Amino acid sequence: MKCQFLVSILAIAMILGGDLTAVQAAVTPATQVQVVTQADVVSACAKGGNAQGCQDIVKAFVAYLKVSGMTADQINKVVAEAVQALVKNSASLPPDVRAVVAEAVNVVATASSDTQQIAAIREVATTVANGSFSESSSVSSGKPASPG
Amino acid sequence: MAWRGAGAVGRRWSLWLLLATSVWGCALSGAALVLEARPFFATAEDIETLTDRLVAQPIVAGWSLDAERQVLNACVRAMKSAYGRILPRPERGNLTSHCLELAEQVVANNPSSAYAWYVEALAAAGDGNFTLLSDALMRSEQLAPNEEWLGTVRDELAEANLDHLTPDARAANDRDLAMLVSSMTGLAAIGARYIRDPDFRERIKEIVEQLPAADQRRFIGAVSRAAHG
Repeated sequence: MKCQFLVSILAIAMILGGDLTAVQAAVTPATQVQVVTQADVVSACAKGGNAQGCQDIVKAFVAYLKVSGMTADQINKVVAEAVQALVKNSASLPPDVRAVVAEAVNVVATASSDTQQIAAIREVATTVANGSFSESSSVSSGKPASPG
Repeated sequence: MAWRGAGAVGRRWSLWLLLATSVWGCALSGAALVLEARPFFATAEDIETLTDRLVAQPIVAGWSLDAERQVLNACVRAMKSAYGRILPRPERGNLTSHCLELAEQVVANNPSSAYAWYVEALAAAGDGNFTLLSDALMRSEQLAPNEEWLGTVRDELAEANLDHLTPDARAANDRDLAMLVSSMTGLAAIGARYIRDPDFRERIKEIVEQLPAADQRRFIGAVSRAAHG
């Protein structure tokens, strides 16, 4: 039904010899979402860029994920990978950049549909912000606990 | 002549048998080498690759104690890593269930491995299986009550899941805490936790009260040092 309507508009516009740009505006989604990759996010946020530039890219990344056509599970996995890429080397960053990264991590979390994952990401963001983040918790010395 | 012919055929058969045995031996050695070497290559990977691999497929324990320990370490690394914790539910579920399978496989072959019981407890906690968590923590403590490094990680796990532990598992955790207070390396951490965590104070106070006077004095010293930075 909607398709017929659009075709009718197009036909009328063509018959009248009008400007097709007006017709295209009618059939194009109101917002064109820019393709933003994980690398763009890391580059804008974790390498000492300005806070506003980072926020803009992260929001564009989240917006892109929502219209990307991926399933919820796929988006959640991409979220995990993006957060990991953001925080991976955060321990060596100065406090002001860590704060920017932590904020970016919290925004990326909003793209997830998994509440436990969101909670875990928020915990990670807190450790990034306060400087206590470590890539992995300390593993045991690896000595056997018993000979047998 | 016939005897000579039979001897030649026999020798030929012996050679074939020797060759077949050698090939079979080489194949078995190759398989053993692959099985033993795999954990060492797997544990050398970065955390994302290691975790994704453990999510995708179960890891097999090698035959030696060293290979067994390497794969258990790989599971601990992945489960405790930031990346392992922020994975979405399906992947996180795969990771914990594959590590649980591994730990069960190791304790089936080597029931006295207190570390494997700890890894089983860690995976059970990730799976939300608190009965198994309590049971595995208790077994680990019973098998290695004086291993400080193991007592430390067991205590971390118990503390994070304290409300879900059975009374017996809590008692095992109390014994771990008593052991850590009496140890050189654990004491400072317990003293710092006393300052940091008000909920912990009453609990550790009751445990320390049961210890010898010398340990009590050392504990007070550790708390004092922690309080003064």
